[in-house]
Amino acid sequence: MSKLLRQGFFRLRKNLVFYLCILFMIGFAILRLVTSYQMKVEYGYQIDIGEMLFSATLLLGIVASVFSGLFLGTEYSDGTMRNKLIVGHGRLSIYLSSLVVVTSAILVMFFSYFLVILGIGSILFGFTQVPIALLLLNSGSVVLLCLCYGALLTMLGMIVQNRAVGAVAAIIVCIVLLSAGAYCKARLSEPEYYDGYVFTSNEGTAAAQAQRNPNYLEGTKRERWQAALDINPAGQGFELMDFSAVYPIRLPFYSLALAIMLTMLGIMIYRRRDLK
Amino acid sequence: MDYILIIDNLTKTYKGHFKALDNLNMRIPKGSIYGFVGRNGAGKTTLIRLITGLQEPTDGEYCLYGSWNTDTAIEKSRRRMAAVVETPSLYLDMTARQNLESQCMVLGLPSCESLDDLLDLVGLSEAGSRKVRNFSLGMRQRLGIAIALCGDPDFIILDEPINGLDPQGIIEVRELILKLNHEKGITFLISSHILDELSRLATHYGFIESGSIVRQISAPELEAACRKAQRLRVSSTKVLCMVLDRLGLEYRVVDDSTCDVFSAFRATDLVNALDKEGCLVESIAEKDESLEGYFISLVGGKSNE
Repeated sequence: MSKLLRQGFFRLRKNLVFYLCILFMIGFAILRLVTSYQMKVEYGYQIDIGEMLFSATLLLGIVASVFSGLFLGTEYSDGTMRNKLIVGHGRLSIYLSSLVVVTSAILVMFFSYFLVILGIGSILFGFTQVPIALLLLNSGSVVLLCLCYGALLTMLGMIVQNRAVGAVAAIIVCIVLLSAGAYCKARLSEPEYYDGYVFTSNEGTAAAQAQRNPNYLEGTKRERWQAALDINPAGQGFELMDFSAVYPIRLPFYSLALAIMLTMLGIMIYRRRDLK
Repeated sequence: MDYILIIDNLTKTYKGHFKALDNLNMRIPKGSIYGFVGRNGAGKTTLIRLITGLQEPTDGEYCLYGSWNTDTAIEKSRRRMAAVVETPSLYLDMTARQNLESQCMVLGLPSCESLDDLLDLVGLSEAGSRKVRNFSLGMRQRLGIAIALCGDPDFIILDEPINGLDPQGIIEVRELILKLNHEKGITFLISSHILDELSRLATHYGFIESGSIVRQISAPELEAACRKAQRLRVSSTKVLCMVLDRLGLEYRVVDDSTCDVFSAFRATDLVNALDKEGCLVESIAEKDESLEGYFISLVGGKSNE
């Protein structure tokens, strides 16, 4: 597999889409810094770069799906996967090497953003006040989140033989995951009570007590929605970006378990595939 | 005879009912240029996909350099093989040289020193730093062959190597194949339905129809079968043979009433001689069969289905 990895990274270094994705992430980081700096200068806001460090986890899935759809799809559309199979490389090695290369690319994309925020952000706003342990935990979770996205996108890229279909499918899956994550997050963020109010007019004063929100999730139902948010890689993105995870320790384990399951499923399908 | 590829009763079924290959048997001799001939949809590309490991057979087996496809050693044997299946497999956004470097890495070659020689061999030494996206079809085909040559293979499979090439491109690919076969002893399996071109290259032929090999024949045998002759249809080939022997003419009996005469003769003399023996001549027709004619007579003149 080392031969395939060497070739995969060689190809990655020559891949224009990869560099465009990195540029996009750096551009996003600069945009975040510029808008935050404006708020600091114009309104005197106190900015902590910790609030920005992990914002890219939201975009990561979409950017990675664009990259992987084109990167892996080329292997089918240009037929280059045949060059590996014909000379005796096993399908397992081809699959796993693709997984490693795609995951590495996603990590590089994320850390391009992260390092720009950390480097320039520290100069502009000072170092973050977020505890180091939490930063490290979040960073570790992001690494496994990248692996999870890598596994998902490699599976799609390796089982869909048409590059256009594969690329579109990867983007759609990531958008669906993001939408599902946003919905779960919104449901879980519902307040338990609507605030009470006091209304005063010429005719007198009316007061309403705080009312219970019927949409508030609690008990087992809340646990299920929380699990759905935690398992969904895009849902994890929502939690990691603002350190709002209820069970932060669980996130990397969910990512790892999902990555293993997706990889096993992908390998099983890919090994049975009749390639053209 | 040494065979590098032995195929026994290979069957490939798609979606449970369509048999693309049906108990196919084949032998490819070492050092040969094996012309693989068949209509569209006869099973040529399916067979190539199976022996290159892109697909698994439904039934039957094949042996490549002594390793059967069911053995794990087949992966090692495949390292001695290369193929250009349908279209050359190239990274279009890389240069020709980078494509070769990439393949060297796939093969685990320690250095890429011979790349210039390879580019030179396929006539692309001037285009090594150009992106493949800007290459003509002929240049891509030649680069595909160069990639196939990266691992110094002993056996190369080319599927429709001259499809879409201009006349100059066809000549270049033909000369390259002959050069590699003569100078490096590389065995080729070439699938094509451009029979005229194939007849200039092949030392052996395999004719496939409906997923089965209908005949395997060497080039000299094919030449003999396609030799220019006068085809006589008579009432008795026994009498005809007696007369032809008496006249000292070279011939071959085709069936009970047909005979091919290869030597030149005066028709009047022969007809008179046969008439005296009581043998009726029904027809005399010139027979000058090409590979194409041989193929059509073998598989029938049906149109492609």
